[in-house]
Amino acid sequence: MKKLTNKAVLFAILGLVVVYGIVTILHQNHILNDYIMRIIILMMINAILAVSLNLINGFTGLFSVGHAGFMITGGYVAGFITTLVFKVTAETPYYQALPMFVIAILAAGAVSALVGFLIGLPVLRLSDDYLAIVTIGFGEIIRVIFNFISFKVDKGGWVQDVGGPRGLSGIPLLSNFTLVMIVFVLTIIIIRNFIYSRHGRACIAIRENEVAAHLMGINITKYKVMAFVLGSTFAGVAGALLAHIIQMLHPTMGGFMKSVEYLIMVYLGGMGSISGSVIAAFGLTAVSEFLRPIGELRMVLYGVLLIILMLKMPAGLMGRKEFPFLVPLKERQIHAKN
Amino acid sequence: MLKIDHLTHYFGGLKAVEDFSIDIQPRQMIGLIGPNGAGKTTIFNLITGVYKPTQGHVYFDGEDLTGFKPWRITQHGIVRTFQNIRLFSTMSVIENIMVAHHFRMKAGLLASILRLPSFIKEERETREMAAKLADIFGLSDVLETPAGSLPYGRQRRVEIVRALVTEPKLLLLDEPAAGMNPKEALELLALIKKIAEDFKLTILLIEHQMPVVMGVAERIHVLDFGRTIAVGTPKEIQNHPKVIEAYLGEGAKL
Ligand SMILES: Nc1ncnc2c1ncn2[C@@H]1O[C@H](COP(=O)(O)OP(=O)(O)OP(=O)(O)O)[C@@H](O)[C@H]1O
Ligand SMILES: [Mg+2]
Repeated sequence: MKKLTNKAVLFAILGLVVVYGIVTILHQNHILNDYIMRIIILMMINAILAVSLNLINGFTGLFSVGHAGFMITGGYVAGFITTLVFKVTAETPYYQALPMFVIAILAAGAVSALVGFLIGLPVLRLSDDYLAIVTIGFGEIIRVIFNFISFKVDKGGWVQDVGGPRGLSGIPLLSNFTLVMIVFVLTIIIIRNFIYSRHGRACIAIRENEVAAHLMGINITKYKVMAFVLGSTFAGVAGALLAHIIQMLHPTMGGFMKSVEYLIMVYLGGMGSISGSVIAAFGLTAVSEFLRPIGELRMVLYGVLLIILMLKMPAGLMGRKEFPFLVPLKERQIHAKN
Repeated sequence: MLKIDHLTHYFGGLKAVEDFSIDIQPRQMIGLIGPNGAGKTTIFNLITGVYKPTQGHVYFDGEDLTGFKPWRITQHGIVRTFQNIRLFSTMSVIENIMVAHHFRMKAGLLASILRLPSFIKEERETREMAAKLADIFGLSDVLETPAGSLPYGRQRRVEIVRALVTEPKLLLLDEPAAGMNPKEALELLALIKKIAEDFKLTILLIEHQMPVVMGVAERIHVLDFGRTIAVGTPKEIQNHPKVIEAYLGEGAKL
């Protein structure tokens, strides 16, 4: 039976390497242009956001509506660090910029985690019914905060305002395909391993029956906060990556509407399915990119799509199913028998 | 071991439990009976911290547990099953059982995420232990079935196994044989009695079917409208006029 694990995971690793190789070669030969590469990178960043939100809403059964708020928090933290602290510019060689960027990403995750903890602990202690309201509020508050945070930077003779309502621009382009793919894969591995551990089981049990989970000795507040903080951390990391591919941030990007986009990905893919979130994030990112020419009309299309899906496929594309390589051996045997 | 002192609980104006006291010694099997709405489940909810009593105290092994959160009370060694079954329905039977072993397990976050050998080993051991216990209750063939799709009788058995893997000292069973015919009920209770001996458990049992509880409990507390109307051996209870009176309204099940 041990062979089976190795097989599915081995295939997954092989697949990853092949995909990575092909994309890189196609890019080097200009068959995939920078625009397409950018979309591929955005797909993976959105997948990180969807999977981490799924951990909170799908696996633990909470209802966070503020994922974009954590994303933008991470984005700003990382953006400030690379542009203002390390003063990375387009001219900085990549090998010099990379370690700084890694620090910025880690800091983004840490700050988002801290903010998640500060919001999650008081709210989830009371009742998670308030989480939706509070996270909506958080998205708005964070917008106001980043409207206010601005710095005057001396650009050798003239003073430039950075941040504030204009947003943060001039962020160096540091999120390349390789780096984002590494972070994406690490995120999936971490969240998958979390879910298939006693900690993840505790989260799922809370979703299934909170009273019973509580009475089976699970500190439900602790695990709700843990899921919320872990999800928020990855949102911050994704924000850092996003900031360094779109190269500008605006306070409104942390708002409610943006959070709804991630919610749609989670529901479309299936609450409680990592695979589903990845598929939905990939699909929706690509589709919305190709629908860009029709402008705001695509939001209407989104809405219609969502309604059709909810009616025809309430469990989402995947329900709670997973690709085999995302399920450890023991659990996979169980899935197979069901 | 479990000592309850003058426990009283109101739901708004309704006095659900009034001045309830009990003293349970290790390894005893005590019955709690009474007509519908007598307050039996409420007492379980008070012991396990689901409700905070209006008055009175719950002591366990000399420690005052009154007002503790449910998870802490479970970690102290008191665990219960539910009258209205509360399983993790979409999780498999074995996962339901493993969840309850959660706080006995040690794997930290990092060990779990890295799937270190210590983590793998603990998972395997927990799984094997859960499977073994499930087997005792005849659940081997449904380990991988979602718990919610089982018939009620088997769901109740899953609940009992799930409670047992928390490694309790005191087990509170809320009508474990509900919905079973007397023969099945007696079989289950015999099994519970055997488990209690094997695991050195103390049991407080709520049971509706009088013959069932008569057969296993060494002492019985009878409640009616929140008040304790009788305490005694099954024989004493059977002939107690107040008990007969209380149950008459229910068609004298005695
Ligand atoms: N959460 C609650 N809010 C208000 N009243 C409640 C609540 N829980 C129970 N009660 C009331 O308290 C009284 C005792 O209920 P309890 O469930 O303890 O009875 P019981 O002895 O377990 O009955 P049964 O044999 O039907 O299970 C009943 O009158 C019930 O309606
Ligand atoms: Mg009851």
